[in-house]
Amino acid sequence: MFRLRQLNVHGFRGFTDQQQFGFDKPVTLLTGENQRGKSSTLNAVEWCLFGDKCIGKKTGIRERIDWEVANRYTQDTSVTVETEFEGPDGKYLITRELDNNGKRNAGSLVIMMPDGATLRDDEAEAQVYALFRTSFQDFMTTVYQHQESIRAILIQEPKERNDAIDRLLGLSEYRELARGMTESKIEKSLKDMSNSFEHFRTRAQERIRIYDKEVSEKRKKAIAEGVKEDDISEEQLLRHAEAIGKAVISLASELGISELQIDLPVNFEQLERFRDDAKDKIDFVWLKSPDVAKLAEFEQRKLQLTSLLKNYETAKQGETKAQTERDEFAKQHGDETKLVKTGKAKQQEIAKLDEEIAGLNSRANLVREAIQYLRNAAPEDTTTACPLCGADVPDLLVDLEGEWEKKIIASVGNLDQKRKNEQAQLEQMRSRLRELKELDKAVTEAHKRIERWVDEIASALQRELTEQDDPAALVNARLVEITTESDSKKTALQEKGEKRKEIFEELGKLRIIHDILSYKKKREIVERIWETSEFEHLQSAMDQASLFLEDVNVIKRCLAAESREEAEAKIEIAGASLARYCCRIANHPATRGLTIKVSEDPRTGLNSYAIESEDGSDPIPILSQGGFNCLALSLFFGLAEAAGGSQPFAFLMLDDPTQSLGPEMKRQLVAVLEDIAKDKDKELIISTPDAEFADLLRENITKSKAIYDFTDWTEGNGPKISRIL
Amino acid sequence: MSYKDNVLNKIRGEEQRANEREELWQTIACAFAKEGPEGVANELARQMSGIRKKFDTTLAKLDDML
Repeated sequence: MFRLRQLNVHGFRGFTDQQQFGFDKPVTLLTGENQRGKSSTLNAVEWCLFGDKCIGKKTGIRERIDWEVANRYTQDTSVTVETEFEGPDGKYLITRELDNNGKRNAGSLVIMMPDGATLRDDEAEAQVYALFRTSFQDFMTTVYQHQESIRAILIQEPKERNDAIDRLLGLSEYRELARGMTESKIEKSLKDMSNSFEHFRTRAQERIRIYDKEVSEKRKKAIAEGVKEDDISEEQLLRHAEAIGKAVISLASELGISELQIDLPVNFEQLERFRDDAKDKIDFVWLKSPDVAKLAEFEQRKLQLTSLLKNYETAKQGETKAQTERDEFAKQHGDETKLVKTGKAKQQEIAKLDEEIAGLNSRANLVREAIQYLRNAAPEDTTTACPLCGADVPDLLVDLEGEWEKKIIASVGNLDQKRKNEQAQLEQMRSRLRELKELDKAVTEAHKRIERWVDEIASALQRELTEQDDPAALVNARLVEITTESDSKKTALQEKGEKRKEIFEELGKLRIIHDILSYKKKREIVERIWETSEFEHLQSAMDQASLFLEDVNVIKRCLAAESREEAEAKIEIAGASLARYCCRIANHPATRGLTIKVSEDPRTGLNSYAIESEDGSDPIPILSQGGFNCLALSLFFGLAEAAGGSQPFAFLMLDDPTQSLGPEMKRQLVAVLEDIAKDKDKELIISTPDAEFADLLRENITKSKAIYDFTDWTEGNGPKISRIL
Repeated sequence: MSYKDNVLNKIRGEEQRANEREELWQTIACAFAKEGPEGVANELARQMSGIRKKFDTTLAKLDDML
């Protein structure tokens, strides 16, 4: 058996400078607060022996995912861990190093044998395995009780607990393998392939159905258009195409185009091209035909002349209307001469009235002044004397006032009114004169429009027109000529037009027959798909995928079965020890005769553990967190005991074993450890932050002890450790 | 015996397709040793993907025939 004697650590996790640990006593305690490097000390031994096998997901320890080996706080990222083991043949020095960039987590291994021989790397790895014959999983279950393993079992969730027990039993690899196989999702992939396959089948069948329907409908249409059943064949179709080709060339010739060429189809595949080509050629010869071109020209001419005629006649109507309006106006109000003469007379009349009014106004002034004088200024004895000539006029003032009122005021009023009337009539004359001028202007413009259209007509008829010519009649005569010529051409083309129509009809039949035969061909292709090599390859791929899935499932089943058998074997080995240890530490009735039964989880195929008390009841609902911890510890002790002499290491490592244990359980645990140290001749290396537990160990373990107290930790210096003997 | 050998024995015990399954198991175990469960998932997915690719290519050809 091998005993651990010394450990040197440099740069490993929280360690900076080199630290040395001696394991020269039966019991070694690592005490101190959390995060001082105690667990890292134990992990260093593990890493030295197993390298990257103790890192990553495959360990089954969640905390080991992205686990860092090199100290992250120092510049120097090199790591060195050296362990010295004392074996039957002497001292073995095992050193694992990591290079400066810290990338290779495995590190390089060197082992110095008792005889001085040194082995390196792969040879060293092989020698280490040959010496100790222990995998990392075995080491975890029988030598080094990790705090993470205890923590995991404290979780109540059944699935998580099954994971934790598998880990405790060293069966994590099976579980992780099974998980990897499940996560590949190949079953889903196969299902997708099956769905694609079925979908393709459905599409193919649907396609056949569509083609059948198309053929049926087109056949009905063909027959309705006079196609015979016998005509629906490739051979007949090609003959039909040939006949159409010849008809097109014949038509071209009749239309005056002699050099027309058309490629006749020699096989079914060329028919579609021929169809399009024939249609294009028919359109071409028709449009290019001289007669057709002439006909088009006639129509163009007719349109032009009709438009000119319409414009001319509209202009004529406009002129007539303008002239009529002007004449009626002159008739009603007089022509320009009369209006001017009447206007002048009015002006003279107004001038005369102005003179009369002026004369009357002079007299009015005199009378007014006389009245004023007689009223206001004349002395009393002179009021009957005329202020101008002095003559004595009785009642002069009254007379004057009467004259003013009756004659002067009334006369002026009359004259004013007359003048206003005359002025109004003068304005009316002027307005009529302006209106007459506008009407004359409209007539002039109408004349001009007619002249313009006459010029257009002359240009269209290509001749001069004089005043003696009737443009409208000339246009009508020309239209009659063109119509006659056009009708003559149409008659000539009618027969050719009928031929053209016939060819198009035949082309239509050709198209339908071609479509029918095309759909039939496509249907045949789809029907024959199941016989193709491609379909065979498809089925082969499906079969291959199915077999692959089956192989994976068989392997998964074997994996699960092996895991279960190994679990059963280990539990059986642990056997009575498990119940004994558990009962002793926990001291609870539920832990008496405790057994663990393993079965298959129907959903995953993985191990499912059921814990039973002596009476067959399930203790889980009543077990405390401490009870679960006892269970974990008991499994560890049980398996370690069962390994017995076959276990190469003569020591046990426990990391924080008192999680959730109360004082009494701690005392019981110490008692168990005392027995192990005393009776089993196992050296103990225990790491704990629990001061109470550390004290109990110090006081109750009767074997001599070395105590490493981890008092502090800093980034720059790592753990501060003092050894207490 | 390691878990690899234990499982291998069981696979051999199945008789059917023993060689293919043995080879597959070796591949799975190797992938697991290198990259853990992700390595296994990736390897199996890769193999399935190879079959799937052949399937999809052939299916595309057949689709064109339709």
